[in-house]
Amino acid sequence: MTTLRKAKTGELQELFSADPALEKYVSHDKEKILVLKAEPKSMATDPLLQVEISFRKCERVGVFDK
Amino acid sequence: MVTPSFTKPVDDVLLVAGILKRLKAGSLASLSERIRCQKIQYFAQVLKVSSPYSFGLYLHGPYSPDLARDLFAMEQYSQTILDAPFVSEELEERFVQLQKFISNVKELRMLEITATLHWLVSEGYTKDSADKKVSELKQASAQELHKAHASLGEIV
Repeated sequence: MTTLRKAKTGELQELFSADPALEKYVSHDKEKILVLKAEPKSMATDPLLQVEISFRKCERVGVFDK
Repeated sequence: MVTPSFTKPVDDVLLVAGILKRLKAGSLASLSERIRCQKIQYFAQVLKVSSPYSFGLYLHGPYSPDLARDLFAMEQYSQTILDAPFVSEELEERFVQLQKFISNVKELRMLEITATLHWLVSEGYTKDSADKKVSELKQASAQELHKAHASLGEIV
């Protein structure tokens, strides 16, 4: 399942150092962050595209914390 | 409402449809529009901005029956498809490259020739043998082949 929530202070740095690719997936308002946990893979093989599709899916189904 | 059946996960199909919408394509009303959709998706895959479909070589160049099926299944939702930019700047840059490529290869015939040429080379044809094959299949002139190679040179 994919978990999405607002990042806490200092948490972004920790996450980005663990996986630099995540930095590209802070949404435009810089408040939402996507943490991937065993999200079923899309058909995309490109890692960036996989995360993009997961991000859009989460936006579509409204799983971001308010 | 009956849930449409897709060959790919719905979010992959939504991405494909969203890219087509951003490029003012996506209509399936005419054969030329359907061919255009197929070729845009083909090059979107080449530039790694869209989910992969398997393409085979057909009369009008690379064609994916699964893509055709998914686009028809998605058509009823065309008004609700989002044409948002990519979240990732890198993917958005790739999309801009696709946008430029598609706007430079405006004529459908050139899009067909260019896609066919790319498909043949990706299948292992040498440049010369691919040129020869495209000349046979599409009656492409030397000038058209030159233009196709020049266009491909910008993206591969």
